[in-house]
Amino acid sequence: MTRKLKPDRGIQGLVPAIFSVVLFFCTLVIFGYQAAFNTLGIIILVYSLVFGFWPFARTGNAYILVSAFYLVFFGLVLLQVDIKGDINNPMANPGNELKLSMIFVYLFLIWLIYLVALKKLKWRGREIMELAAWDVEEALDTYTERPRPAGVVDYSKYDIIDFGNYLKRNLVCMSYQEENRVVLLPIKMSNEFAMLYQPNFDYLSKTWISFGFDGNVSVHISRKDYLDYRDDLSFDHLCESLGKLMITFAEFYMKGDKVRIMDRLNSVKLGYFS
Amino acid sequence: MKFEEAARFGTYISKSFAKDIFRLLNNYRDISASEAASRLGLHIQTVQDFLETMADLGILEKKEAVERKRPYFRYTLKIQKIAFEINLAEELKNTDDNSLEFSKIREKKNAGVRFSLARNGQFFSSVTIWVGKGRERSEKKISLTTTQGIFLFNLPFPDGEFLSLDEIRIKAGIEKEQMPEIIDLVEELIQCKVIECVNI
Repeated sequence: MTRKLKPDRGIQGLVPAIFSVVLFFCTLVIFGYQAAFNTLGIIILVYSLVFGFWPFARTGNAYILVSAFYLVFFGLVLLQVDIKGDINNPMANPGNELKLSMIFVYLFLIWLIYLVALKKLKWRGREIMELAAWDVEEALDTYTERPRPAGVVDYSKYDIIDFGNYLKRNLVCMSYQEENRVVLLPIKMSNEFAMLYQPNFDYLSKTWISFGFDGNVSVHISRKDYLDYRDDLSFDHLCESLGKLMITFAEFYMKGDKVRIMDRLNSVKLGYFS
Repeated sequence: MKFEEAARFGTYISKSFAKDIFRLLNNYRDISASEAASRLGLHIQTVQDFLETMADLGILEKKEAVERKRPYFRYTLKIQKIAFEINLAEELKNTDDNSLEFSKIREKKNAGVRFSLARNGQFFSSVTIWVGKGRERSEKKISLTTTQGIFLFNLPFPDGEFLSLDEIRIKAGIEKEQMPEIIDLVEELIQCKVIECVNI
């Protein structure tokens, strides 16, 4: 299948790692090994809160806790490292607590790699936008900022809320419940930071699919996401296709075929971090 | 009486001197603008405009008179009763209902318009359009009624299939009785180049 989206070359996801490494070496040069490891340990513990427990609280995805606990034990290891000697001749002195922490680090690391391989920690916005554009033809100058009615469904309010929560837990879409509808935002990898950490995040200016409690489904595609496609696609067709895709996902969910949603997303075969 | 004529008549009849001029016209067999102006202590042009307008509206009769000097007009009251009636239903209906009835519409490409969603997200509350060119360019915001907002929400996209007003009305679930306000909006948006239309 030819990809419709431009390749993902964003490095936003690497920024925390780059920052930690730079800080580690700066501290190492100025204050020595012990201070460098301890500083890095504190940073990693902060990361576990920011990139682990906070996203878990926002999404309810329990797999994120594996990443959070990995970071916690990794941070503890770094804090417990006791280095004797000088900068030219360091000697680590592992205690029992350190050894126990190391075991947990390895356990969570293996578990984490397994989850990454299963794409359990991957935001699926890119897959959704690829699937929506699957059979959409090119057409010039067709973009418009307004939402489009995409169909009608016949589900109860609580079914729709449950569906939104399921997609949120599985990192397929972020869901926002409003007075009379649920708004679903497909989040691409690296785009989750604004959603998670930006105060007053304006989700209605992003790409969204809304399921009204009266059954009306509407679709809005942001200009940024539209320009992320390689070609100028027929906008009407693209919105219709995205709406139909989400209505299909809703049908799968209501029928209890939740696994089909993930199967459909996995059929796109994108990279683990894009 | 046509709306524009009524507006003209209303403007002049509301003048403070209108009744005095009519009294003169009633008392004199005929009178010129200069005679009336000197009698009432008004500027001759003021009285001239008043008499000309009343003559145009068919309330006065004007006759050209030639005495010694250059020609001028003398005015006579033609009617004793003025019926002031405007048929609003006839006068205020949309200018060209039929042309839109046989047209199909959709959003124009690159219309450069901003649609603002209502709080419930199911229709638009306003449309903001850039009008004018260069330094004269300004933002024009049209606040929409709920019906208009629902109609625009269902307007076909720039590359969507053209639809007639009635097709969009049915799709949006709007009553036929509410079409005049829709037609009014569509006419305005066609003028602002937000909507394009083709004849069926």
